[in-house]
Amino acid sequence: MSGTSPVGPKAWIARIAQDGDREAFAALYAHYAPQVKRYLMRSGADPVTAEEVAQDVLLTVWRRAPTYDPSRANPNTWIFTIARNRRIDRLRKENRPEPEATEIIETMQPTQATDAQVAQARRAAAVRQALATLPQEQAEVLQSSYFEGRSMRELADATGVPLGTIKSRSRLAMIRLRQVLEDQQSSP
Amino acid sequence: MTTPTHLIPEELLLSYAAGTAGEALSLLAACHLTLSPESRAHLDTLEAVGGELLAELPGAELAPGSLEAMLARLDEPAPAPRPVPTGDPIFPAPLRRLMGPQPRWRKVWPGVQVLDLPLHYGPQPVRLTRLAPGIEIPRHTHGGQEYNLVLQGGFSDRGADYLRGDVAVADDTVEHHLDIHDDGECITLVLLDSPLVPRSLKGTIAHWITGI
Repeated sequence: MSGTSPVGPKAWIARIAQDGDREAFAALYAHYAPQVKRYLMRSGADPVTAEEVAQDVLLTVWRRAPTYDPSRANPNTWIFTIARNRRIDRLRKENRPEPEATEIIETMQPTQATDAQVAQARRAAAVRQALATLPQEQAEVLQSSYFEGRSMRELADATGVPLGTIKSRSRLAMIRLRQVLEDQQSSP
Repeated sequence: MTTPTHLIPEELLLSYAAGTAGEALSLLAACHLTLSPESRAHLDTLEAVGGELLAELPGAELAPGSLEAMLARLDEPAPAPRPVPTGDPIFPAPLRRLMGPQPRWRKVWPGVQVLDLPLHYGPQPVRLTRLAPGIEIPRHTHGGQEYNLVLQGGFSDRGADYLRGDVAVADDTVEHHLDIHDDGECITLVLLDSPLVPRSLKGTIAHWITGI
């Protein structure tokens, strides 16, 4: 991550928002499209469909850059939510009901909340750190929930691990994540 | 205005954040999240987890000419944004979208009206119920899972009060009855994956007549 230097996802999104900067978009595409494509393939899309949907996702990023609010979500989170919603719309042919107030996370109103930005950056760092310290089996349950589009019941059926065990691993992972986040919020 | 204290289960919030919850459970989550700042803050964290997991994925190789194909799409006209549906604001927007402009409530029992939504939870339709002040939903248990989200008014269940935004969760291990608060009509969103199993004579008769 770039911090204050004028490259990196946040700066690219800002340049897209301000000037429709195609060079910044190309950089953003090179950074995210391969990961978004992998994400879609992990949820069952073939490579051609995955690439097409990844382009839909980045096209949405291009269009919505002016409403991106870095104090609400960092670029990783914002792009994850867009990719997740496209995955549901395209691959499952469903319409994802979105909460009325957060119909916004994708289409947020820009604010000037630098404190919130700092808090949000710290949260992302804490989440990263928490993920890195999770026991393997808990990390696997999380990854499977997020990437393979499988419910815990489906995961239990597929792996032969009892549903109760999967649920408790997931619960432990969430407790651990929350703990790290609370520590990070209470530290000065 | 108080905020909800009976939040949706974490497992459900996780599957909503991950995008693995089905449409009915996603509707329940979206309606609850509209009304609960606490659950929204929790969702923000779960989405941040998704973002960091995405960032850690090894990239897949893009097809040759991928960037050029992408750049050629940037000038495609953007689709019009979905309009926010009109209607009574006690129903969160994702619900208004499903209810349509002229919802047709059915009276199924004295003091009980239902509106089936064009969406299923398991084999059963997701429905809204309007319950008259002070009535009782007789003692029953469930063949499976039940979620009951309060949109207006309130009810008491097993010694706890459920008000706007609160979610009551029950399954086949729970036998209960609901007392609708007497200070006004109660409206709830109900997900029930199999019919109620009555546990009283009055309930058996009601079940037999209403099929609920």
